[in-house]
Amino acid sequence: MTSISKARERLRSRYLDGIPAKVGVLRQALRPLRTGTDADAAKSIRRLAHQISGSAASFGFADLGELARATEQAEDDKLVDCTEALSTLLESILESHSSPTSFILVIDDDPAIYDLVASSIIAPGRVIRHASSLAAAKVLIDSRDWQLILLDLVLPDGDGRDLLTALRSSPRTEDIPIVVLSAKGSALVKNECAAYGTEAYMEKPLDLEVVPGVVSSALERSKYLVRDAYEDSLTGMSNRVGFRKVFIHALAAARRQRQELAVALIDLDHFKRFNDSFGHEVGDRVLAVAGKVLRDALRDSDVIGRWGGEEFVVALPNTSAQGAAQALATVASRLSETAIEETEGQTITFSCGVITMNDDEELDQGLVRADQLLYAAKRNGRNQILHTLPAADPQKPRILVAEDDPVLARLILRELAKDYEVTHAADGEQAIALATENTNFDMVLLDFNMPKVDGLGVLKALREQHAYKTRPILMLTAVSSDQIIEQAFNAGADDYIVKPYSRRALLARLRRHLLPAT
Amino acid sequence: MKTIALVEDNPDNRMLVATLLEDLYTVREYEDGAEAMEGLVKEIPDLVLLDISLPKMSGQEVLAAIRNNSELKALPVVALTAHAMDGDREEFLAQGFDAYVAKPILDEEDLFRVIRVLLEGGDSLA
Repeated sequence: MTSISKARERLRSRYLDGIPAKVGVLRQALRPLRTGTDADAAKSIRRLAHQISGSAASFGFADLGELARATEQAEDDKLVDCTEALSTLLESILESHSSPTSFILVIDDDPAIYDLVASSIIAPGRVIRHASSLAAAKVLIDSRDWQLILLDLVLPDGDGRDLLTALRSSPRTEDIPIVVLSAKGSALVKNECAAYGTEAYMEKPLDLEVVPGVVSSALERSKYLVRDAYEDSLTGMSNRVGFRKVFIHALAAARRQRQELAVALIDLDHFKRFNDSFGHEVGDRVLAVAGKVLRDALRDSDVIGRWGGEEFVVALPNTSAQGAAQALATVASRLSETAIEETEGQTITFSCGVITMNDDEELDQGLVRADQLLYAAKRNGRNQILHTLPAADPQKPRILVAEDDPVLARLILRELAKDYEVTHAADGEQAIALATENTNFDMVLLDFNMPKVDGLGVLKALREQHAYKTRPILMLTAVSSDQIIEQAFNAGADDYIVKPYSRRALLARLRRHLLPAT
Repeated sequence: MKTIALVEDNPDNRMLVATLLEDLYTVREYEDGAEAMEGLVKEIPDLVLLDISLPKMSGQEVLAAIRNNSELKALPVVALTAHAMDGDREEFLAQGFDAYVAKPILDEEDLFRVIRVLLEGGDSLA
């Protein structure tokens, strides 16, 4: 008797083990059927539906058997709907009988992509949900914690990168591993996604061989994130989330006490060379050593975090930018004296940008300014600390870029830094103030969506000023809707650039508009 | 351990029956009649569980082949059927099956009882 009831237990788990393969077959067959007729696909669905309808009830899944029978007998025009329902029921049976360990959200308006992804990654313990619009995704994201998000960039109600920004700016979601699915292959878009800390970038058409591995490794990382929510395991210092948490208090204290708060962004020089020449383990050692030297050389009251990759961030309370630069110079000299055996005497150096926080400024905006300095230090030959921008090169055209998204702003500023003198405005109000204060910008780039005054408002305000009546003003937009573009032209825009843009196209566009002036 | 041959084309049902029986019997699985006939003569089992609605060769045809084979003809053969009508029962027994078990197999006791009786004798199945 006992062996019989044990057998019953085994039955259910064996049936559940077989569900992923069934879902795989159904979802694979669905893909060609969604766009047309495919006799082979229909045949494989009916064959499997027959198998399920003849057996599901014996395993205690009578409803599944019923639905399978309906699918087997469905007219061709109902087959997709029935198959979809059958697959969904199988997926939910698997979910409800296995204790879920990872919740995975696929955001893509193309159901075929969901078919493909779900069929290749379904497994016991994984709950896979689908959202076909930004709006639907937001509801689902709010509803629970997710271990992985697969995100398409082109969605019917907006740009996937807007969601990326939103996810990254909320402490609850900022460390969810995100895999970007997109046909958009420009280097700038990839860099942009990488700058948001996305896990991977998979180009469509998706490679079925690659998807399961990418998903598994992203889920692995998500487990590790749960363990160390605030700490970077390699260096033992705060990670991005942890740093933000402590920084908020440091900033509040500085404002309360009317003291300066310096922020330094540090990037190890030629870090890739360490990895490439000596392997990742040595690269990790270099990071750990750099972290330790930072910790040892700075004051206990200084807040240190690993921002990502080979980038560190430090907040120094009650310190001027100049004072912070001096403190970091000490770090630099100690680091260059620290030898790591495996690197054959190669010294570790870094480039650094230092700022002090302005009133009413958030960390992200401060970091945009620090990054501008950091990038200038890199361009200037690396191994240096800058707290003021080098004197403007009068030969270079001056551009005002108003972009509120800090990640995007950092990228655009980096793209333009080589050829232009770039000033950044974090919102529309600041853009108007900067343009009014300094009327010699040769060109203005305005993001459409900005807080306080939006891009269109800034455009109208500038066109009323004598200095900007005929100056080139270009709009940056995430959506190329005719209505928006028409509005921009009516308000006097010279051109518009739809994000994402390739770096070369962006620079060519700017050159064209600057041509008459130069 | 006695050996039971299971002839069933639906892989889920094969798994189901094999899982129910595997602690008590050695189960040999066959997907269709031709494969079964080939296997049965090589290693004669103690009992055959035979699905009725098989592709190619039907259950009745497989039964006929067993009954026409001098080495196999005395084997107890149980019909596995989804046609769970009471009238069918008499018909299957009349066709020469030794017993029949209706699918879905919601209560495995019935299956076990049938097998026990056929292998060890005892209660009548009628």
